[in-house]
Amino acid sequence: MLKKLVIGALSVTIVGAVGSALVYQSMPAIGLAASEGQVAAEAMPATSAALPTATPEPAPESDMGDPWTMTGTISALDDFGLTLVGPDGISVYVELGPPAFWQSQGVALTIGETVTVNGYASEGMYHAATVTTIGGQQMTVRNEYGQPLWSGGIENGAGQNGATNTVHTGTPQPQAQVDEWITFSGTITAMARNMMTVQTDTGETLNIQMGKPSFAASQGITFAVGDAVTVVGFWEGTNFNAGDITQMSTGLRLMLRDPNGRPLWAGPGNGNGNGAARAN
Amino acid sequence: MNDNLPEARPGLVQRLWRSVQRDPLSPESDRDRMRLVMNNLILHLHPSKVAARTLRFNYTFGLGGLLALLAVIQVVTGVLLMFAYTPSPDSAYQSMLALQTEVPFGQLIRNLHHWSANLMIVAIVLHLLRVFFTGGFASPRQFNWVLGIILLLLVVGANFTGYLLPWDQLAYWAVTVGSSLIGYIPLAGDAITRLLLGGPEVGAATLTNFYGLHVAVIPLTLFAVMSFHLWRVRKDTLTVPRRADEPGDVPVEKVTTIPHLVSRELIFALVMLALIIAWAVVFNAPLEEAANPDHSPNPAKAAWYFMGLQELLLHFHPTFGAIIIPGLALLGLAALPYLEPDMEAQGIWFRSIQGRWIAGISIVIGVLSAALFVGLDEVLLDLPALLPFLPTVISNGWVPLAGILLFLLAYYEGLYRLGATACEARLAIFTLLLAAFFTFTIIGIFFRGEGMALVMPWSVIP
Repeated sequence: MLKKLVIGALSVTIVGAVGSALVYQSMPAIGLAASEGQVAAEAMPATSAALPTATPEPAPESDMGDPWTMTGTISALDDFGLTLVGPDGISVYVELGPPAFWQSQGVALTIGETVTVNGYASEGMYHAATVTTIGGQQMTVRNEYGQPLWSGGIENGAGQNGATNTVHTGTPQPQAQVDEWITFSGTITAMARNMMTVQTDTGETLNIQMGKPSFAASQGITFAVGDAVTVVGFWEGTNFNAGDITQMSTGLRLMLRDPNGRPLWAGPGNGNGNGAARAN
Repeated sequence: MNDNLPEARPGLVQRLWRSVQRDPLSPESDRDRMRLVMNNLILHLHPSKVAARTLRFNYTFGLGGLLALLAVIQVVTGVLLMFAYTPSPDSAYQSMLALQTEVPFGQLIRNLHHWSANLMIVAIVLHLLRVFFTGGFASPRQFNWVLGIILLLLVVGANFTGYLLPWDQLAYWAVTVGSSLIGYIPLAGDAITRLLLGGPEVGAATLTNFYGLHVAVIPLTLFAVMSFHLWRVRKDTLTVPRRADEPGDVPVEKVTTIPHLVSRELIFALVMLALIIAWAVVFNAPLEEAANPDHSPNPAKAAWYFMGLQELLLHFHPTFGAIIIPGLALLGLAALPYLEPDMEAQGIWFRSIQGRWIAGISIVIGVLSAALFVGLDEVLLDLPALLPFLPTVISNGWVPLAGILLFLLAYYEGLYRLGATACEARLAIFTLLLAAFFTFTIIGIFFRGEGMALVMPWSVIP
């Protein structure tokens, strides 16, 4: 009898899981959103054309990547993110955004501390939305749509590097249009003030735009010709903009843009232009 | 005339020696040999006579004796290392360097300690398998089987606590990863982790705690349990090996422990000691750069004997991967002898001829299904994404576990219906799970590269 009960319970679990997954995967997009508890999204009309002018559309999820959660120990901390080591040994670098924004929230992160990060994973980049410490303190750097709060968020459409005092009448445009994040590895063949030339492992040569030189310099990573690097970035016209660049020999990573392609040197925004509203 | 003289009084030296060793060390009769065994502190752990068949090397492989030898090597080399080691983050790594460069034979002693500790884990697992596959845990030895499992845990504990002591990158991050598994114990996880680490992270307090556990608490417990285990071996009697077609009640020839068993033990111990020393001379114990809490290696792997667990964590929610599945496995292992009411195959490898086939097939299925599971989960089966409306503890914990349990139940029932006995079917499940766990361990050690991505072994080993 007990064996039958056990087999029954296990079978119900498997059949239920398979059935639910099939039903869920076949549901239309609006239904998916509803079942994920995205109440706000449920109330929205399906197309942006029908949106009320004051309600911006959330950034498409493909820009942000897939929702992602990890609990682990902070093994390193810098101005733009932290390195998290999970219990399974996986070590990832999690981007937190501009230091002025996350450091102003009064949550003191320390090396060795156990935290849970909710956020998004895209092209090997991990972007935090919330960071919760073991003591229950929580830092929020992105909203539920993955929109950076330091850019003013989608609720008010402010920020975006100086979109000041204008009447927000729709979706805030990111400074860069990211169609697809691309990752490649290669070797630096030339360095300039705000650009590096990289010969990829497949033999191509690319000029990588690094943006504001002082911002890159402030992160204290020295690149040199001959360094092996991994670059994550996107094409914008004929320019290739770097989102982050990892120096393979040291594991150090230069963070340049957020998942929307927005430059991190643009600062917290809030309509003050070019990051003038930094807390520190 | 001389026959009537009183026996000459023994000299002082002879009297002194007799006060220490009452029986002659070269006994001439079986009676004297048995008395020597019974009256000797070490030898009396043996029975005075043993079944001649138990002396076959290919029955026990001398694994129990090897473990005793390794324990002695651990104590001797460990005590020597204590003279050169300071358990503080500032000095521990320097102690290691000094051992390698300044202390006479320091490197060799450390190598002996390190490799014999690793061999101890291998030997205790093989010993457990030998006992299981020959049915050596059946009544009246059930409790001794449980003691053996406790010893296995203590040996792993001793290894784990010792792993941190060199305070290099390998040690620091393996222990950080390993100890973070404890945090997933429901309710008490954080408290236990803090107690063990002496704070929220691996640091000076952790080193002190681990040192104390490694040099005092665990060894003392281990030797106490080991003594109990050996005493029970003696009291519960040894299983006698027999052929699969041989009845269990055939009278067996018995021989005296001296010289038959003791001489074999001595030769085996000397050979093993020579091999271990040779290995330690050739291969140095690993020592990476000094621990750097600010920079983790990629990937940060646990100690090799935890890699099966770490691999599980890549596929299951941590509550299941770190707590529930290993907990169930340990519970099942301890309960095994109590689930074998039909156990009449003591002393027969794999229970029967059919059992050998079943075990072989189960090994193949275990290896293939584990590899397939890893591949599927890595490439196709993203359960949290397929079931995003469920908490991940369900979608990535209970659901895959239920699938595996159903598969095991089907395998058990299938074998049973095909004519396997209950104990053969249980042997099949044990063997399959064991093969799967070994496969996970191999994948974790040799096939996981940066970011714990699946890679070919030559990409993992620098």
